[in-house]
Amino acid sequence: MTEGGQTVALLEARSLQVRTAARVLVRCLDLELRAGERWGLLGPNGSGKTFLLETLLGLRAPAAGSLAYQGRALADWTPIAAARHRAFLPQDNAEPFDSLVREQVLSARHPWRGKAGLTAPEAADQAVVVDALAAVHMQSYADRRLSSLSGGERQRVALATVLAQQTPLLLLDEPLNHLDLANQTALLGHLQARSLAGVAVLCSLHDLNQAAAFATHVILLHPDGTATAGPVEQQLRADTLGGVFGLALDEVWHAGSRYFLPAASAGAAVLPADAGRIRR
Amino acid sequence: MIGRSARADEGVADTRGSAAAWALPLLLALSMLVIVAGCLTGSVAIGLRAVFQALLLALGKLPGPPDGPTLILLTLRLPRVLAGFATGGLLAVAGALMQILLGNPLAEPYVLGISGGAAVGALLAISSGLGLLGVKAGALAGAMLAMVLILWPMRNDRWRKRGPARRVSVAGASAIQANTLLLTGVVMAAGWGALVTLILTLAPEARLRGMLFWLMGDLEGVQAWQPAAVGLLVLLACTGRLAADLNILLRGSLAAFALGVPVARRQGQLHLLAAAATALAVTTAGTIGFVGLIIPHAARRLFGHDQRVVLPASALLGGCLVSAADSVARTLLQPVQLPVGVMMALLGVPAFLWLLRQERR
Repeated sequence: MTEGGQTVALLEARSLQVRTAARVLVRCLDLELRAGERWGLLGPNGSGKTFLLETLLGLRAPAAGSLAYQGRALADWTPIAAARHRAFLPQDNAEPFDSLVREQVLSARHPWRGKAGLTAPEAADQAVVVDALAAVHMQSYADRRLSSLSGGERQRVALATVLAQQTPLLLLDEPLNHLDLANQTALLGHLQARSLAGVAVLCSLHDLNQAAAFATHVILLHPDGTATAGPVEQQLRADTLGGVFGLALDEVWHAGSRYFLPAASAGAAVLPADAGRIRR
Repeated sequence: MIGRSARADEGVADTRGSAAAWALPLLLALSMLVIVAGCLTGSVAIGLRAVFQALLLALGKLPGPPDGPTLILLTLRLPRVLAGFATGGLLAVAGALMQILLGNPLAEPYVLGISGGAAVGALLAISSGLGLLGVKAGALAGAMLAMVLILWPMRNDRWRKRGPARRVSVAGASAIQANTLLLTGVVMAAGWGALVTLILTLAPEARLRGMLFWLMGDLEGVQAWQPAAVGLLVLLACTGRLAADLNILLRGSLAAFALGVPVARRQGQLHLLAAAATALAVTTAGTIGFVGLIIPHAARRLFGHDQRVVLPASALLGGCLVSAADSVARTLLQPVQLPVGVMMALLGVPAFLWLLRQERR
């Protein structure tokens, strides 16, 4: 993709540390996200993927280190300017108030409309809403209520909402949640198309094989707080991933692509690690 | 997931876009009607003649002195109706704001004990001999304290789960469990009620009548309607300026943050406005319950979620409801006048249970 340092990074983290009161989730992370890159965020349950994304969003202050969008420190961005730069898909998108699908998606135009508000939305905004719904194949649901949708449909509306914000940087926390395989593939395809048009995507994923097929770069969060970021070929290796997830993996090639499968002998190794996690 | 309410609402979906155009004029007309009707009902018969006389008097064009019915209308009936209207509007808007702040459609000043906090604050100010302004300030302090007490344990809850106070901009209010919130509120409300009783029992001039006012709400012998009415207008002006951001805050604090809403500041403003509205309502008419629950819900059902419409519509509908309930309370068991709070509770309790069922779906 667009490697090389001639463009300013859309998001840059230097020596970033993320921690809870109890433990360090990410000890030190250096990161540069550029236009056209697709980043996968991988790590076992509880390794701090959501925490890291919320930190990159600016919702949490980093415990140490610095964060910048477009070369400017995060603290110097006004809320509206930041909202025009990056969009965020939360993992849990329960909406406290029921509304129509198109109202929900239209709310993403807020940073572009300002005080004029969205009561009488302009045709341009309506077109963005229609496009965003079409991107997740939900255009026929525009006048449905959120409460009448299934979990997967609601997730697709949430994704359409994020897309309608039209930002150069997308931070997505488990965007494939609740989606069936066809919709997962379609969504990753759509994100790929957006990235080729110059958008940078960072999303947490659980399926190593989808990450291998989709991502150009990967952030790996180890359970011990180590975090590494780099190109996908360097990051996704059976031995490294095995260490991260505590599970022996085999690397398999099929039709020109790499796949990771639990090793045939892995069954014995999984149980003690799992049991320990439960006891803790 | 597919609830009955969802289906029932689909019929009004098409009218959403133009709701602002017709809803507010219609509600204004309804409000005038309710106010006039409120002036005409009561133990002393007052005809339309008195209403016209009063209007002429207000315009300074009444020939000769006003007659008996006109005097009753101007000195007793009208202030009471207007105070009821303004109180209802304040409570409805306070409810709508609290629902946005807490991300919970069941939040309401009375149910969550905010009215109780305001009552205790007002009573403490009265017993320390403060004047009218001091009483209002005491009520405001009580209401704000009550809201902080509601929010505080849940904040800690959220922090324990998700790490220390590192979320720089957002109180974890949106993630509050409905059950936790309501339980906390109900317990708080009971506590405030006990404090009201305690203060009134210890006070030398304690009387049952006064106790009912602070526990139940009553518009009889209302002092002045002007502070509540002015307060309601100021409140609507303030919320009108915030409405665009409030529409986004409806989606929860996390989504609002990502969309560029200054969440912490808006939450602070909501907190202050809802507490002030509650305090003003309580010092005018005592603790009237459930207006803030029924009315915003009805407004959302009728007009959608745009707060530019929902908030003024709630104010007008809330005013109509309390004025109408007070008219009924005055005439239902004539010559006995029921406290309006009793009427609202009789309406509100079943409505609350019904809404709770809808929420559980």
